[in-house]
Amino acid sequence: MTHSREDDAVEALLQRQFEGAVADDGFCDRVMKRLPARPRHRAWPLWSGIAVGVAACASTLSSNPGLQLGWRGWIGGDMSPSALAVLAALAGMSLLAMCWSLAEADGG
Amino acid sequence: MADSAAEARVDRALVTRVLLDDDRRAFEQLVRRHQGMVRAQLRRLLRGDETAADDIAQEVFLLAWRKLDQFRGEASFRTWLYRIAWTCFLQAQRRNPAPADDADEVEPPTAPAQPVDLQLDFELALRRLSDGEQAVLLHCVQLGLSHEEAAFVLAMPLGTVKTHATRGKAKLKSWLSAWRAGAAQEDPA
Repeated sequence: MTHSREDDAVEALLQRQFEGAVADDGFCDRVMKRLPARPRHRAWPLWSGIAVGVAACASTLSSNPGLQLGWRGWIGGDMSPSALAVLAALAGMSLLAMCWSLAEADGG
Repeated sequence: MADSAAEARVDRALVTRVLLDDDRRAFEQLVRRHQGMVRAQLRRLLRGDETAADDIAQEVFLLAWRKLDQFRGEASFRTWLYRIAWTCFLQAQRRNPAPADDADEVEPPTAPAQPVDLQLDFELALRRLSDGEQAVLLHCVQLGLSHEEAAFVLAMPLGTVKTHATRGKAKLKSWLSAWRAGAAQEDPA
């Protein structure tokens, strides 16, 4: 769509009508006086939750025979299917955590 | 373009200082940098009611302070503030609906029989546009936002913003032609 002289005229009228930025006149001071304390985000609930979650997982999975076999195989250097499954699960979780961290970093 | 990139970097640095160090002086800098245009936006939206505009502007910056961790940097800080201001304006309108204009909003603006003052008449013609058209022209032409930024601020689809901009300008252009024709008739010399 071509930009005509009439478009310029209308835009010029719109610009002329706009008074531009308003002078401070104490506005900033009034805002700052009303500013409450910033809410402090405590980290301990998050880390407590993570610790409890890890403990719960460990407790649930520790009696799993497949996991025990895989773990023993991995420690012993024997790459049995169970050991590979454990390795793949750990790698998958690490990859997920990395992708999440990158996504959060991009959004910040 | 380089100026706006530099401005955006300064804003992001100030936001970071507020979030990491709870630096109130950094937030004061942000307020000083942007209060002028946010208040100007609200004064246009509220048709010159300076008191109401400043009340809402204070709420905007208090909200920005509380929700600063939600500023993700997808838009510029000023655009983010404009969005908060627009939302606060809509909430205020719902609480205190403005009295309806005498003229039907849908009726296209017509040039007066006796053109008096172009700028004055233009203001009246502008008020005859739909709310959407007025809002888009304010944000795109007067505040200098791109269509994409205006869509973000007004929470409208991009296509709707472009349609409002095109239709609003078309109505004003035909009004202007009629006004000039009227002025030429009034004063052929």
